[in-house]
Amino acid sequence: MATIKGDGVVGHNGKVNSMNLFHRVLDFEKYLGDPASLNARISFIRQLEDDENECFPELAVSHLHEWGLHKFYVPETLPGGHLSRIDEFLLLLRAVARRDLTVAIGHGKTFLGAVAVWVGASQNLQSRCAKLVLDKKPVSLGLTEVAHGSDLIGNACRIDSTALGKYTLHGEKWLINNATRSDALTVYANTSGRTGANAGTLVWVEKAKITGDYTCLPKELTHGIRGADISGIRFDGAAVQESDFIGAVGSGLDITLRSLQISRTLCCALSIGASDTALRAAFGFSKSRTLYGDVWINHPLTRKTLVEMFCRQLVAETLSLSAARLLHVIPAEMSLVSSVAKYLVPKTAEGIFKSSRALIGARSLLRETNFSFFQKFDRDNKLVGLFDGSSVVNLQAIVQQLRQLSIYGLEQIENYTNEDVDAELDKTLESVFCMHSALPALDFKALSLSNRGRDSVLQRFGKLLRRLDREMQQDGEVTALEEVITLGKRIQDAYVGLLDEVVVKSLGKDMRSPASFDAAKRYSDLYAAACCYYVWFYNRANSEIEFDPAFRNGQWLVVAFGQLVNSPPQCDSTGVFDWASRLYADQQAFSILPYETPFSPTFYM
Amino acid sequence: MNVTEKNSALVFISPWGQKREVVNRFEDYLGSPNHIDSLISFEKSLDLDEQQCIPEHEYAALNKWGLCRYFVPERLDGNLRDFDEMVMLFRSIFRRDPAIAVGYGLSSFMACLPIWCSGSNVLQQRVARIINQGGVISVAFHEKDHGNDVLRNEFTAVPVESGFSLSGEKWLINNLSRAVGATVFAKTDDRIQGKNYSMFFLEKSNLDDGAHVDRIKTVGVRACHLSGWAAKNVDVSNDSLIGELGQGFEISGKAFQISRTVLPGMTVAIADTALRMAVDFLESRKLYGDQAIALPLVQRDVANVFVDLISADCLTLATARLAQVAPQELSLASAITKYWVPTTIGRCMDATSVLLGARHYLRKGKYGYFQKLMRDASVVSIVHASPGVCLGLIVQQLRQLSMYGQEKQAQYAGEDVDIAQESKLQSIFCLSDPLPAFDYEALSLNNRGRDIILQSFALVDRRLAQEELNQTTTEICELNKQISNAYDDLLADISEKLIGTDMRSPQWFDAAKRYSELYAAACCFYTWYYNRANGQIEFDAAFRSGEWLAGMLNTILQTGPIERDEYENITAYVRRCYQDNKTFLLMPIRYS
Repeated sequence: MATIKGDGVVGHNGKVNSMNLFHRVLDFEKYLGDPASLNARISFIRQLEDDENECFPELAVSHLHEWGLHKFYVPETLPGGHLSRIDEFLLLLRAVARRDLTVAIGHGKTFLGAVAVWVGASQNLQSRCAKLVLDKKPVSLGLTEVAHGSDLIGNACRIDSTALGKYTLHGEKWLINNATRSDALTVYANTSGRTGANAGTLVWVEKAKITGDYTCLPKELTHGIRGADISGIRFDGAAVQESDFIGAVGSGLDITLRSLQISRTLCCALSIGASDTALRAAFGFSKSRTLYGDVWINHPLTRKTLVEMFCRQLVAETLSLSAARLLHVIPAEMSLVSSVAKYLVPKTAEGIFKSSRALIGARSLLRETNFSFFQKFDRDNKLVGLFDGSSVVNLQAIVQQLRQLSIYGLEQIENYTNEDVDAELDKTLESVFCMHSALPALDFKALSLSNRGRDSVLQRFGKLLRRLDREMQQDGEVTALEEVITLGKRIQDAYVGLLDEVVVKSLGKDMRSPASFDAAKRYSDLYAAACCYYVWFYNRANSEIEFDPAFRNGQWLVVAFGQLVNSPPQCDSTGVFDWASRLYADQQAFSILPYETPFSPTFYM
Repeated sequence: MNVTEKNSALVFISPWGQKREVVNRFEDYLGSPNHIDSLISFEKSLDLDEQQCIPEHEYAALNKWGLCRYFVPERLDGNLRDFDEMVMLFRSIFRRDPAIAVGYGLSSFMACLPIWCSGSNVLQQRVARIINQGGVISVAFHEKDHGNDVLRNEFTAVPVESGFSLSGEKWLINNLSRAVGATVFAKTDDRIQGKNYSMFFLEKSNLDDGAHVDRIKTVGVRACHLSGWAAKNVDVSNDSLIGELGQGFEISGKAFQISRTVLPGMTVAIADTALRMAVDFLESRKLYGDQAIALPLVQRDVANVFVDLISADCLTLATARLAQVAPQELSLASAITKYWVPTTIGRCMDATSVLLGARHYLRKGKYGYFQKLMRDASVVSIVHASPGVCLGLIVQQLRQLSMYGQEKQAQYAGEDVDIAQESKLQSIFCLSDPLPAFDYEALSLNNRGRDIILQSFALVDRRLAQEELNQTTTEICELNKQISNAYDDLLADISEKLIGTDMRSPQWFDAAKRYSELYAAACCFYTWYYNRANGQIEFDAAFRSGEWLAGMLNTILQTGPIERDEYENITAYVRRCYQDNKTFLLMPIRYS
């Protein structure tokens, strides 16, 4: 299997850090510059102007092209393509999202438009699509309709076959990002005349070839991303060729759902980018403001709120990175993790915004002062939980797998009570979660509509705990370890309890019952916790990457997940707070990965 | 009780009935917000919001109806008698357009309150005349660098021979451009903390001596005009002082208890409209072959919003009425209201935005109004003390509340009854009972440990337990037991663990949150208890039976999700209200 290795470039401070693996991310961050500066390639002030005037951020987008971000929308297996690692791609998108979500969404849409082509189209169509993307042409995705939203099976847009291999496209797609600006779209249309899982087909539509047979709908005025092109397109019998079909006739739903596993994972970049900036704003405000005779950050409640926000940010990031790496290592399990991440990460980011609002107060709601960027981020961010499958849609996707996950999960837990049954699987987990491990090349063919009950992350969590237990007995020195293990055991108990409950109460059988949704939410929380445990476990002694000591000691896990279980173990959060403060002061991202960014802290003060 | 003659028969109209008539009359005057020809219409309001225009035409029409008179006490020739009536009247505007409600005159009302409470007779008469004639006055309270930390404000009023000389800058003042006067909070002394600020009433000529700072752009209530005001040696006369020199902190701290109580009560109507829009969408939407409102998950969400809404309704009517029955306890009630209600309404807005899906994000089309409501609600929630500030105010009273509360718990542990307390509760909670006139001088900065709501809970709960119980009332008794136990635990926690620790610590704030939740739960219980057999008000059977109450208590106590038959029943009720064009609140106002 081909592997991609990080290269050993030394960081600009002379230290070897994780970003050597992602030197392109560092380079991109530097290229984009400090958004507080008007001269930066994406600047808060200029993006705010675009927002107020509802202008598409042309200039910022042209800078992304200039650097070559669009090349990452094309797999490296195609000539000119740069996409080789999803985790790297995720961090590139995050770099844009930290500065402006409208720009990220307006530009990143092209990947959403193209991904189905990479997943399901012929070699020929892939080359045509790649050519367009590499030529900096926007590509869009036409799934949703006025009357049906994200219900693809109920879609009304259709392809009629006329005579002798001729096809025409009819109907309307609505609330489509870049519907008007795009040169081409991937469109979901009914090809069978009936409804059902095999009724739809994805078709590649280049506007230049259907002149006169389509009409773009007017721009919708939106609450956030006011500068973006959110519009629609109506096809009036546009001629399409069979060679433009993505995959076989009737495979539209299948290809769409598998493509969404990739795009949903990448949507997380938008959330964690925006919440990074929200947290930075809250830190800056708290450090600069004096209230009731003391700097705001010295008030215990402020500190507690900041610590909680920081931990939530770490969890969201870790879950996002885990999903991105899982896509390389265990693609067959993406149906679960992509939904967990797309449900949990935007929700977490919204929670961070909410806490930031509470700390910042009136300035979070003003379109002036040097915090005016905050309200724009806040409005823009509210969209991320909606597109590419809302939280309800993603929870439903988890609900559908709940019974299998529980039945198989209980079996597996039973198996794993025998020690070390499967060393091979341990290696697999290590390559998912150890951040400097080489990743297998992407294999979109291996994506599957269902995990079939498999969940390598939670099903082997108990085993991880036993390893920890053993270590603790050998080495009494690691202070936080006992609390980390205690909490881990409670998480494992909660997991087993949930599986039992699903089986006993037949949750997931009635896929519409609120109790099933509640179970899916709990499953997601536990999944995120397990990911964080693994990432900590496989990196705490990592010498390739210079992780913060506060990451390594694991206390952040207890602060982050104490609420998940009854009677959480006691934990002092001072170390975690100091870690966050260091990151803020040293111009580092709020991230488990140590990486510098050009965000100057003084702007927020 | 009022007696009117109708068809030569005598018809008794309870105070509640009278209030309802006033509200209905006002609703008729306002017309349906769905029609562009109505005085306030969603379409026009959305336009005002987009254009950031001041709704002059709407303001004039509200003046013509006489709404401004509800800012002025009866004794000063105004129409303000009962705060619950004021709350319900202003809900009619809030459910149409919060920006108009805030811009029309809520800041005038805030500006007047220190004067109604502490101003001289002459000043009261003068300001009452201004307001009764439709004049607008502003509050200049906050400063850019100090936010809610008003005791560090820097704006000064230095005593000079003929009066005072004012210097400094005030920020986030509503309506200054339209104002004919303003209430100003200024430092008059450098010495004694808390006694070094005073309040002034400034005439337009004074305001013109200072500089108006540019309009401040906001996320919500975009039709309001916010700005700043900068003064440099602006001279004002001695009689512009409100109350005594050095009493500014105390005067405002008391007077604003009233506005902090009524404002959240009014904003409940924002969520009423949000829910109506969501239901409208769900009725017409088909998803996965089903009508969206038929989906169990959707029904549970709808029920959750309704339960939050009706709980906020109970709490806000209660505290508005408590102001008149037990004004010396308003310091606590107002802080709890201003913390708990915006938090709860915020949850309603979040939940309804999820129900509306992508529609909640659009600024045009049938549901394009929703995003405006959402933005307006977020601003209104922090106007006039944020939830966090209010929790801080509660924290300051917790020590006394726990000590006195434990005393009372011990006293009522036996078979004691307390007729005086219970009759007060009756007049607070029986919504059709008349209220005593509000005593503007009875307000206090501190409850001194008194809390009629939670401290009497054991008494009323015991009465219920002595009744013949059915399934629902049995459940309520069990939930009440949880409230009592949680209350006991909380008081014990405060006195045993918290007292003596840093009062800025998160534990104190958590205790204040828990106190507020129990307070809200108790208010919901009393509202049911004292009205379930009330023949003067047309409550729904599900309210009377206690079914809703069980939902409210379960939600507030977080005992678990709403059960299936309960969310189905509630959704059915919500759909009926929607179809009958009625509000979802306790006072079933029909939309015109």
